[in-house]
Amino acid sequence: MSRNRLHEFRLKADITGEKEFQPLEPKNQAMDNKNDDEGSGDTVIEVKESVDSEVESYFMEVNDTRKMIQELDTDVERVKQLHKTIFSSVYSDERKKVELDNLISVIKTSSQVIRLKLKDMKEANFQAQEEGGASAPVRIRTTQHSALQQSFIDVMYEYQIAQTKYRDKCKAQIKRQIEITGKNFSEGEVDDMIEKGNWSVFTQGIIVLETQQAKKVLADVEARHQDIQKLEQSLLDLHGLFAELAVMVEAQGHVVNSIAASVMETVDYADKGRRELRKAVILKKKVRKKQICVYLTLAMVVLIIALILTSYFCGLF
Amino acid sequence: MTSLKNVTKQLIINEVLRGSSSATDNKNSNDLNQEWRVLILDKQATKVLTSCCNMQAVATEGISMVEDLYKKRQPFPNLEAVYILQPNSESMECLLQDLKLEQPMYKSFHIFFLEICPMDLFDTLCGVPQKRRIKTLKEINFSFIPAESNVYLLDSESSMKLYYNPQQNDEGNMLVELQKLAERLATVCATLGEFPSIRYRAGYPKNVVFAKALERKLQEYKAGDQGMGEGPEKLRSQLIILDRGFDCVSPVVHELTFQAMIHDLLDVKDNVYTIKSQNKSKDILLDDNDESWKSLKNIHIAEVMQKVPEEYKKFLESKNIHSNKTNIKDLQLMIKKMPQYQKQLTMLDTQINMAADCNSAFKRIEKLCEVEQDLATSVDGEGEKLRDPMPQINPIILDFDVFSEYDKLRVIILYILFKNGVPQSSLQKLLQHANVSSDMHSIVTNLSLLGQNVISGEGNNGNQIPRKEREGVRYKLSRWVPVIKDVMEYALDDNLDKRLFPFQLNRLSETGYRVPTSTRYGWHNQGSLPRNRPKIIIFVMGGVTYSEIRSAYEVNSQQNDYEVIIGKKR
Repeated sequence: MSRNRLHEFRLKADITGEKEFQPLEPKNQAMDNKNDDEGSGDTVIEVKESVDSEVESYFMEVNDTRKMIQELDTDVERVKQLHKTIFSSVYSDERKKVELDNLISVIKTSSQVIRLKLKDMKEANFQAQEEGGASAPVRIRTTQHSALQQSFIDVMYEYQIAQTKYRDKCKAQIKRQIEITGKNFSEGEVDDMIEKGNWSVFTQGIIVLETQQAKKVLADVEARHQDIQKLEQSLLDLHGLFAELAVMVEAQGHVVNSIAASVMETVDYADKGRRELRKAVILKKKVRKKQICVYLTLAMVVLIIALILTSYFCGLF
Repeated sequence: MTSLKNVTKQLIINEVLRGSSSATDNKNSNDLNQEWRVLILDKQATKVLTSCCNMQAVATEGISMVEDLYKKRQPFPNLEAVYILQPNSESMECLLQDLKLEQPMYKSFHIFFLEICPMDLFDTLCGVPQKRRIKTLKEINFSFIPAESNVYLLDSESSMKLYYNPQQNDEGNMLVELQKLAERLATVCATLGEFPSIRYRAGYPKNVVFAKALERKLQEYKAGDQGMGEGPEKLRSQLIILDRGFDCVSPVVHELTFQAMIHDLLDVKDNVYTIKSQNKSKDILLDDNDESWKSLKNIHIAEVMQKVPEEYKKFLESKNIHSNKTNIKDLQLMIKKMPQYQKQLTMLDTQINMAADCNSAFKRIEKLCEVEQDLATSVDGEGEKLRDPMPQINPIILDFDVFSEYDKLRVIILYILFKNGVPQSSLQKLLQHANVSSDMHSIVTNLSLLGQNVISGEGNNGNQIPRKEREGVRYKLSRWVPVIKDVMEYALDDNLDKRLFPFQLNRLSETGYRVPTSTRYGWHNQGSLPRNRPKIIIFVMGGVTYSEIRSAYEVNSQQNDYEVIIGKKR
């Protein structure tokens, strides 16, 4: 499908020893250049380096956050798997449940950490934006931030879907087990029972039966019910986070994620020198304005004094 | 189904984004300490990438930001640069600018061409001062826009004018433009790995010129990649070139499926529709990634109006949310209460809004649609043959409140096509009564350039493609079936008229002959082998309509043997 023309290019461009080509070499070359035209180039390079180190440290931050999001993603995947195994096994495996509980609490804390991190980044971006407008480092920041945020939203959305699915499955199982006891309940009644954890109607039926098996069913149902309650609790814990995510989604929209929109945002790069120059021009204008004001007031004062003097002298005569 | 979008996305990510990072030394693409790179795009590359990737996908592959090739950019001597561009003089000029700088603009350069780079431009690249920093130089052969899973676009604005220009003075320009288009169309085939037999509509003389140009380009690509078009299925693939003259009705008739209506009647820019509610407005991206949009877009509006609220209710019930009213304010309240359902709810909410907007727009043109359908099918709503449509046309033409100039032009064009040309005097009268401004008259008269009879007795052949009889019309206002559907179905059944659609070069392995094993395992089970299907690639010079795209999807879902990929020039 694609054709690599690098070899052809290197032959034609007469670049020898391409294999040994060191990435460091051009840097030296750049240094040479710098030494060649001393003075004029010096300041420019300094500016660039400060920008680069700033960008570099930002990249580190981005990498860290991305790593965290990836870890969160694997945790969520694990939760999904656990859900599956818990449902497919006949016996309720306590170890699996403990693991699930642990995972859920890990997800809870790490998602909060990521959320705070993203928030911090956003605030820093705002600040940078106010200082630098749409300059390249600022755009790097916004691009990376929104990409991370999107990834985070995706992962949390996955998690939420997994949780609700699990809850629905638990509910369905409880319903089935209630039906097995032979009593018929309406959909609403079952929902009510699950919500309130009120098993009196149900236990009545079983007490009548009083079999070993029925007791086991009851224990099972109660265990499932506990699961649901735990789930509800964990979703409730994350309620604030989801509310925030909802705001994020709303604010971000689809359009931010579009490459074309991102390209449209770019502006011509004006290097720092030119920006300084513009500042200087503005300052100069301001100074001139002030000067004019001073001259005017001086003239006024002189005029007034002259008036007073003349009227004084006129009064004398 | 191999979606054109997915194929291209994979290609971009694997070939370009990952390919350029492994070139620098770290082979493991999941390595988090990857090199950060700047992605620089020209105009065409921006369109291509936007249609198949998003910022998130790009950023995850280690792109720090995306830049515009044409603008003055800030140098980042510590970052690597990935260029994706078309090898034309304008884009190359910008690239050379970067490479000519004494101070290196970027640490290294990874250059990807969307098409085959011409030798002269290649040579200029060989002489730049920063040539040692060029680490990658590849042609990715990828100069089309994957608009939907089965729709591609070749972006070319001037070709329509040049192609249908009756004067010969622009011959040179036209040939250059045709070469360009052929190149782009060839990249579609190359990306799909197809080396199809080319067929073209004989009714328009320039089609054969284009077919020949395309054949040459395909041979070029085939020479570069012998594996292209190999395999039993691929031998049966076809590419059909059509000029817009094969069906002038479809572009004019109002189509009443969701997607077509949104684009036709509502204000959509770059696939973004803005919903205006009481005080806020919201931008919606109409994109195939949105599953529910994908499932709705080719459905008739009447069904959409029924389906969307139903789904909405179902969703609310399943989540135990009880609400009688479903206006936006309630929704916002609900979202506040249950933020976890926000995504689904807003999606449903958007669709309700869009459907409602469509519906109100449709109310305005309901009467017009009826007349249009009668004229297009030559049969009225009761199934009687249409004799004199004037009584229905007149109220539309003479109306000045409801119908716009374009609405009237649509009716007039359909009337002319129905009559196969009208006398000069009656055309003048029609335009006059409709109060069509004189600079718009050419819209009607230029139809003759597409091979239609505008004035009776012009002697143009018009449309010769025999129509298929179809039964079971579901909606009175959607009786018209685009001609392209017939063409596709004939092609699938292998009885597309060879006089009307000759082969440029028949590579089909003896028509009717099928690979022996395939008959045994049954072509009907193709569903299990979705990848290996011969393809019918259609290209319409002058663009396709949403109704035609919809037809392609319909044919696709009915036919397991072939996959139809439809293409247009925007």
